Amino acid sequence: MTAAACAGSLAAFNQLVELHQQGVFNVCLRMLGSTTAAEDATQETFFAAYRSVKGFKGGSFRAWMLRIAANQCYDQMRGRQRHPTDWLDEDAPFADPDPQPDAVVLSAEVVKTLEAAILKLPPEQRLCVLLVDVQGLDYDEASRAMEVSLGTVKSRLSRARARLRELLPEDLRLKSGG
Amino acid sequence: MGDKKLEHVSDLLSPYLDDQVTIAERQAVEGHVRECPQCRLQLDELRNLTAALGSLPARPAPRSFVIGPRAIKPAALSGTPGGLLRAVSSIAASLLFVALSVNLAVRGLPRQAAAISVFRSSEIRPQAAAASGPPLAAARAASSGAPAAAAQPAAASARAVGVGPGTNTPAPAAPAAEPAPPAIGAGTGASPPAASTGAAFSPSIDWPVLATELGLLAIALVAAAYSVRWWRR
Repeated sequence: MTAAACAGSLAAFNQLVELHQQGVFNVCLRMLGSTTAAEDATQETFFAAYRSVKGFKGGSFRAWMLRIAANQCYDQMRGRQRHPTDWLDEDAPFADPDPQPDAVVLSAEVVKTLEAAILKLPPEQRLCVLLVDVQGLDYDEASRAMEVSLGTVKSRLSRARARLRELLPEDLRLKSGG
Repeated sequence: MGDKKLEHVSDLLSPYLDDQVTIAERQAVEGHVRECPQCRLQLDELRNLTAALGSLPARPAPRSFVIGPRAIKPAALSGTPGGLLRAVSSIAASLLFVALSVNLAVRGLPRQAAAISVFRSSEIRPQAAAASGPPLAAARAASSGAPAAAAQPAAASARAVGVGPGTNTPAPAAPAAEPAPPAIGAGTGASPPAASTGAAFSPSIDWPVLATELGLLAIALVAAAYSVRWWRR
């Protein structure tokens, strides 16, 4: 499928879009804190990916796609010059009207607290947490997606987790995971 | 001592959870947390945190992001705005260069042409008028709003005050001498320089207007290219 997409097949590329669109959208949403901005960034990600898919040189396609998504998010942040938590207040992007009951492990309160804490991280640390802890990329994939070394991934992740731990209320720290 | 030890292990806790430590580091962390309740608590909290982050429910995509065939062309175009802008900018630069060249030529040469015309009209005109010049010269003079007969006295008076081929002709002398070049080029059999001057500046083309039009066209092209780019975004 990836090979066909790289050869220029729009149908094959759209299969990849369907496979990755939720992951890309979730990274954009939690990076930007706004449903509208995340939608724009996701769409631009796939347009940009389609334009450059012929240059894909192998490896993890997901990491390659998420790298494009991260760049789109950074572009949006630079363009808007607004703090994400402002968007959180205005757009209420985390009020999911259609939650999937079987997928929910955490209470809605814990989810909201965690997502709000993630938005308070510096963008590089936020991206690192989203890619490794939320999306489940390994360090190698994350280093490709962020275009940094493995050591940088390790240190950013360490700082991000320490900061998140500080941001969470004390009563949620131990019970948040179950 | 205890704080230093705690800080050192704190740096290793996160990679320890992801199995990104060496064997020696692993042994150091495991040995330390057995003795240090603070580090043990911190490790437990980090473990719970990573488990919670991994359990965050994914938000459903609000719509499909599949790319339709119609979206490809604008997307492809918007992906190469630099190419479009580069092409338009090159054309605009060429037009501006031509406009500038024409403007310089027109502003620089008429003085010489006028001076030559004044000189020739006073020198050659009498013979030319006798030969075949009068009808065309009269027509030109009529179209410029001055009688044909008035051109010669004016030119003669200009020469009388010292206007010649080697001097910069004052502005008032040029209009009076204007009818002369067509007459010379038209059929007097005058000298070759006179003929070439008349051919290079054909009176049927308004060079300053042409230069202005080229400049405006260049500006319009650039404005249109940027408008298209903005509209596509």
